[in-house]
Amino acid sequence: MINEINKDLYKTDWRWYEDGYEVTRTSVWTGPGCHNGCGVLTYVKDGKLERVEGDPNFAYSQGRLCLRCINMVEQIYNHDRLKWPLLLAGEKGSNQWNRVTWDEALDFIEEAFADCCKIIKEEFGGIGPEGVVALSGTGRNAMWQGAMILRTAFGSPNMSFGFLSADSCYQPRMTANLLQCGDCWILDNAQTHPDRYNNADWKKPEVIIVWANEPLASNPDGFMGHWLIDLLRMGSKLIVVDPALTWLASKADIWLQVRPGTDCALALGMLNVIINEELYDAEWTNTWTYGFESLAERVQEYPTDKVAEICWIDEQDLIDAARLYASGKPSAVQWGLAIDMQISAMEASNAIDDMVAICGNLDVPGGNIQMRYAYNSSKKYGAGLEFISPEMLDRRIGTAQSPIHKAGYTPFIPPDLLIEAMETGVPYRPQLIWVEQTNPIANMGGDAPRIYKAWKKIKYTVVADYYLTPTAVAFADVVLPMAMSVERDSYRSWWQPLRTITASAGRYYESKSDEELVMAMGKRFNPEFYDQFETTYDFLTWMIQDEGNGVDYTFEELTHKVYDWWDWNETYEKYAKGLLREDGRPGFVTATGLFEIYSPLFDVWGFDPLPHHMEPYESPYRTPELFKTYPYIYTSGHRHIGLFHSEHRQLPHMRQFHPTAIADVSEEIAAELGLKEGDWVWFENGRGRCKQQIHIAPGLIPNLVRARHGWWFPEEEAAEPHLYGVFNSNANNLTTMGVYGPTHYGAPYKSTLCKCYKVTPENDHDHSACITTKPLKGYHFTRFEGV
Amino acid sequence: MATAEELNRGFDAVRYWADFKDANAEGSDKGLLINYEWCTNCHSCEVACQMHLGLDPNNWGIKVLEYGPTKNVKGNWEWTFVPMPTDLCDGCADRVAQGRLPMCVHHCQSAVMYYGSIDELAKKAAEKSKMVLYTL
Repeated sequence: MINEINKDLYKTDWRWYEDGYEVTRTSVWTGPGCHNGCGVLTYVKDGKLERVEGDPNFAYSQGRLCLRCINMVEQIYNHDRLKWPLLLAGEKGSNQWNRVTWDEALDFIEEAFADCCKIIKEEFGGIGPEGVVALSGTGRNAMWQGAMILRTAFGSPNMSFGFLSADSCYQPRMTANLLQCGDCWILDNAQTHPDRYNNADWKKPEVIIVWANEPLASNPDGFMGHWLIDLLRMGSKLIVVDPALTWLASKADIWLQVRPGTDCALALGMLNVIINEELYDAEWTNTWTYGFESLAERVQEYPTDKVAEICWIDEQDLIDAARLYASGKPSAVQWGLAIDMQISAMEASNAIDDMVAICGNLDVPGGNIQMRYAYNSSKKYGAGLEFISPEMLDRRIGTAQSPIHKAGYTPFIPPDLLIEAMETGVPYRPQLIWVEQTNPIANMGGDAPRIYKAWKKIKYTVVADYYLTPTAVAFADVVLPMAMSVERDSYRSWWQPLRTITASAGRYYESKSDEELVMAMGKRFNPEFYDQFETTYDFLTWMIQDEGNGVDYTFEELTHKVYDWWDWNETYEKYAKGLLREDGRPGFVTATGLFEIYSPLFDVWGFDPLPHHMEPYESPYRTPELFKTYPYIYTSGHRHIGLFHSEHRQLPHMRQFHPTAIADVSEEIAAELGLKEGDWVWFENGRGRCKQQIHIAPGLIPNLVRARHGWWFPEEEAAEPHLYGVFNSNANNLTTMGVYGPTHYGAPYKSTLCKCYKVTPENDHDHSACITTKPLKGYHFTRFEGV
Repeated sequence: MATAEELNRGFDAVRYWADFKDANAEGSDKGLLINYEWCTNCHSCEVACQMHLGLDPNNWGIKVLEYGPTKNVKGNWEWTFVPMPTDLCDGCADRVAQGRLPMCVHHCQSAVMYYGSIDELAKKAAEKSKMVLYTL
C-alpha cells in the first residue's frame, strides 16, 4: 500500500501511551506563531517534548505540517527563552534586569497602575484606568487574553494592535464584509467539513483568484495555503493578482502583475467587464442586493483601457480575467493582506466583495462562504467589553474621530491617533502600556522610529512574551515569561472546527500561559469576578460556554473531543435559510437585510457609498516630484516560509533558510545600479532608511523592491544604543503612521516610494544606534485622510 | 532489456554496450515517488528529515533543488522544485519498521510524496508526467 496510515499508531483518542511516550492529540496556534491551528501529536517523555508529528486524523491539516511545528522542540527548549519574571534594574534600554517572583512582578504592576490612575485623574482630569493601553499582536492564541486583562482587570477601554497603522491587517477586509453582508467570507476549500473533499454538498471552485497574497507562505486568516494545491490538482483554474512573481503566479492561467495600491481600480475594471457584458448572476443580484444600479453606473468611470493604465497591466489580460472569473460556477477569491496595506483598502475590499456577490458566489459550495467562530464560542478582541461602562467607553482614544470605530464595528482604538495621544498628551497621555505578545518596533508598527520616540514618553510598560525582544528591552519595566503552545491549555474557535489546545509538554521554568496570566491578573485586580474560577479549566469553560452563547460542555470535555465541527459553518446559503439574522428572516445582517452594494451607512458617515480608486499616498502620479527622487515602488511584508513576522529569529533551523533580511530587487533596478546578488543596499525615502541584502528576483514590476519585514537580531547586543540592531534592517523605517484612507482604514505599507544605493564602508553605520541616540525632538506629525 | 547486439544494430563502428550492475550496490524494494509538479519548496520535508536524523542546520537528508524562475522560449514562466534524498537519507528505517511513514512523506504540505513498494509506485508514476521515482 502507498502511504498507508497505521491506525494502531495514529489513534483518534485524545491521549495514549506508547514506547515510553505520552502522546497527546491536540492543535497548536501560538507560539511559534501563525494563523493556522493545525493538528499535532506531541510525543512527550518525562515531561519533555521530544517530537511533534502532524495528526493524520485531523481533516483540517491531514497530517501535513509546516516547519514551524516540525521544529517545535528547538523552539521550546531554546536557551534564549524567558525563564522567570524580570524587573528592570537599570535605566530603560540598559537590559539590566533582576529576577523576581510572579508576586513581586504583580506587586510592581499594582503600584504602577495606582500611579497611572492618579496621574490620569490629576493631570488629565480623567477617570484613571483609561491610562492603560493594551497592545496585541496578530491573530494567534494571544488575542482575547490581552483584551480580557485590559478590560476586566484594569477596566480600560483602550485596546489596540501593536501600532499597526490604520489597522491594516484583515481589519479593512473584515469590516467591509461586516458592513456589506454582516459576516466575513472565506474561500471554500471544504475546510468546514470533517469529510473535506468527499463532502456531498461541496463543489470544487472552477476558478480561483489569489488576490494580493502568497498563501503558501502566509497561511492567512485561518486558511492553510497548501489547500490551494489540492484544488489546482483537482483542476481549478487560477488567476493571481500580485506585483511579484510568486510560485503560484508562475502556475497561473492569468497573472495580473498589478501596480501596488491599485487593487480597487482593478476590481472596478473587472466589474466593468462583468456588468457591461452581463456576465453576472442577474437573478441573485436582483433578489439579494441593494444598490446594484449605482454600481453599474460607477463602473462606467472605470473602462478597461483606463484601468489597465492605472494598474500597469495588459488590458486584454484584465478582460480575460474578468470573463474567466465570471465563467466559473462557482468561482472563489482568496484575498489577502496587500489589499489592507493601501489607502484604498476599504474601497478595494468593497469592490472585490461586490464582485463575489453579483457573480453569485456568496455562501455557495466552492465559492466564498460566510463564517462565524465555531459555536460562536467566546469573544475575540472584543472580550470583556461588557465590563466597560458607557462613560469609560467615551474615554477611548481617537474613537470619536472615526465613524466606523465610534459605531462599534471594531473593538480597537485607531493606532494612528493613539500615537498622537502619546506624543501630545491630548486628550491624555497613556501611562501604562500592556504588551501581550507583540513586538511593534520590530514588526507591525508603521514608521518604527517614530513609535520608538513616542513610546519613550510613556511611564510604564509591561511586556508578556517568550523572549526578550527589542520592544521589551527598549520600554519594559517588567517582562513576564509566557508558556508556548504545547505547554498551555486553551482552545481555538476561529472559523472551524472548535479545537482544543491541550497542555502536553511540561512547563518551561516559571512561564505562565496567557490564560493563566488573565487569571492571575484577574484575581489580583478583580477578585469579585475572577474568584468564581478555581482553575484555568474553570475559566476556559466559562469562555467557551460564553454565557449560553457557546457550547454546552466543559473545557475538559473539549480536550477529549479534540475537535468539534459546527454544523452552522458547514451550511451553505445561510442567507436564504434565515440562519444569519437574529429575527430568523432570510437575508443578511444589514439594515436593508440585503447585500449592500451601495452602503447607506457610508453615506451617513460622509464616505463615498461606492468604491472608488485613490492613487497611493506616494506614487508616480500623485507625487510625481517625489517620484523623481524616489523612483522605486517600495513594498514590505511579503512572508518568509517558516518565519512568522518577527518571531523565530532565535532558531538555527529557521535561520538556515533566512540568514538575514534579504529583499527582492528587480533585474532592471539591479542592472541600473550595478548590483550583484547578495549585495547590501540601503533603501531610503523621506522618512528613513534601512539596510538589507538583495536577491535579484525575476518577475518583478521593473521598478519594484520588496523589503523584508520583522528583522531584528537576537544574536546581537541587546542593550541600547544597539537594541538588537532593530532599526538597521527595519522595513518600517520607511513606512508611515497617520496616513490612511477616508474610512480610517488602510495604510500604505505596501505602496510607497524609495531610492536604493549600495552600502559602502563610507555610508555604513549602526543605524539602530543613530535612531536610539538621536535627541527626542518634538513630535513628528503626519496626518493624511486620503481622497 | 535489449542485448548489446541489438543496440549496436545499424551502427557502423563497433561499440560495446554493457548492462553493468554497480558492484557495490544494495537495493531495496521500497521507493519514494514525488509528483514534483506541485512541490512548492515549503521546506517541510527538509526540516522533518533534519528532526528525524538529528541533523544540524545545513545538513540534509533530503534537499529541494530548484530550476527557475525563468521565462522559457515559449514565453511561459517555469519555476520547478525537486526534492532529492541525499547520502544521509536512511529511508526512515526505524519509522518504517514501526509502521510509520517517512517523516518527509508524512508532513509534505502539498501531499505529493509517496512511499511504498517500487512496483506500486512505478504504476502510480505512470499516471502523469512530472513524477520522479527514487529507489531507496
